Amino acid sequence: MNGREFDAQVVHTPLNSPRGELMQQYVLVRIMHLAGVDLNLFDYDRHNALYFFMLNADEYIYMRYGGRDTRSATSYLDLDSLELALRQGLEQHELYNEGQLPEQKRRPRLVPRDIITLKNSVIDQNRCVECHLVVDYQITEKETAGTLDKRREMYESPDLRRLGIELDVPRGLRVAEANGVAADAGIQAGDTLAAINGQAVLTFGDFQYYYNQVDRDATEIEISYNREGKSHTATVLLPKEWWWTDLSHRYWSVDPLVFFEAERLSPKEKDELGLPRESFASRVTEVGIDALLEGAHELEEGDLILSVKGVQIDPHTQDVITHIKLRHEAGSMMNLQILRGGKPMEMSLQTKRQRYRKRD
Amino acid sequence: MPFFIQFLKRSSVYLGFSLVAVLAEAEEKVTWLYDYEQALEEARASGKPIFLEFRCAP
Repeated sequence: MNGREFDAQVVHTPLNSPRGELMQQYVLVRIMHLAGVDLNLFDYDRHNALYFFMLNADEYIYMRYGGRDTRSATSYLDLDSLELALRQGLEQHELYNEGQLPEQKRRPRLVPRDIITLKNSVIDQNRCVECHLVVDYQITEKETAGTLDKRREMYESPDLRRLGIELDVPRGLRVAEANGVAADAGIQAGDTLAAINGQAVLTFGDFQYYYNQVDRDATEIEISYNREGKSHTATVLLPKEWWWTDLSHRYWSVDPLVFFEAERLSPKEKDELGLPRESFASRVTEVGIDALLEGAHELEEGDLILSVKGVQIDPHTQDVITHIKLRHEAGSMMNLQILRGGKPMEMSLQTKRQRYRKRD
Repeated sequence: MPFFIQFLKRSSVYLGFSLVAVLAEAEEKVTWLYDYEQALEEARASGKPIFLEFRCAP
C-alpha cells in the first residue's frame, strides 16, 4: 500500500468498522498545508508526506503516528498498528483526565511566517507552504548562520534497523527480530519497546522522534522494553555512524550532490596502500551520466579516492561521500587525490546544490 | 403515454433508492474537520481527544 492508498483508507474509514468506532471517539482533523501551524508543537520529520498526532484540547500530545525510512514512505504505516495507536490514545486521554500524565514542556510558538526566507520566497508569493519546504528553508538559514549540525539535521531520523531491530509493524513496537547491538544488549524478538533514554514511547513515530533527539556523539542509549509483563532496560552500544541514513528520498538544498557512488576500502586494502586505517579512502563504484552533464568531475569506476582537499581522516565518518556531505557546502569545488590503475592523479570535483524549489 | 408514465415512476423509484443508497454510503464514513482551531473548540466542548493528520500534497 502506498502513502496515498493508506491516506485514503484512513480518511474514508467506515463508521461501523472497528477503526471507525475508535475514530468516532476523537475529533478528526486534516491539515493540508502548514501555514499557521505551530512548528514547534507539531515537530516531526517533514519529509513524511503523511504524519499523525493524538493530542487533546490543551495541546498535550499523547503520541505521534507515522515515520518512514529509506525503503519506503510506508514502511511503518499500517492499519492494524494505527488501530492499536488509536486505542492507546484513548487510554492516554483517560490518564490525562485523571492527572496521571507528566507535564510536557512547550517551546515558544513558531509558525512558517517566522522563517524569514520561507516567508519571502513562499508565503508572500502565495505559494503552498509544503512540509519539506519549511524544513529546507529552516536548515538553509542555519547553514547561512553557520549553526547547522548536518549529522543531526541533514541526517534526520536515524534508522532503527542499524541497531539490529526489525519491528513487527502491525503490532506497533513489538520486536520481530533483534540482531547486532540490540541483540548484544539483550533485546529479543517478542519484546515490546517502551522507552528510549527514559522517554516513554507508544508508537514507532514516538520512538523515531526521540531517537532522533539523541546526541550524534553519543556512544550508547538506554532502551526499555516489556517482556512477559515485566519491564527491562538495556544499554545499547551505538555502532559507528549510527546516525547515517541514505538521503536519496530527501530534498535538501544543503546536501552537496557529488554524482558518484563509492564503497569504503577494507582495512586490508588500506594497509596495502599504506593508508591510515581510520581514513575515508573509498573506491568509486558508479558514475552517473549526470556527472558528465553537470561537468562535475571526471572520475571513473574503480578510481580510489584517497583524500579530499588534502584531508584523509574525518572523525565522523570513514566514507568519502559522507565526508564531503558533512564538511563541504553544496556547490563548492574541491581537489581530490586519487589512484587510477595504481597511478596517482589529482582531479577537481564540482558539487552541485539541489534545485527543486519552484522559485527562489 | 402509459408506458412513459410507468417509465417515469420506475425511474423515480430507482433514483430515490439510489439517492438513499448514496446518502447512506456517505453517512457511513468518518467525518473530518479541516480547521485546527475548530478542532480544538470541538475537543473542548466534547471532551474528546484529537486525531490530527498532516497530509502534505505538493
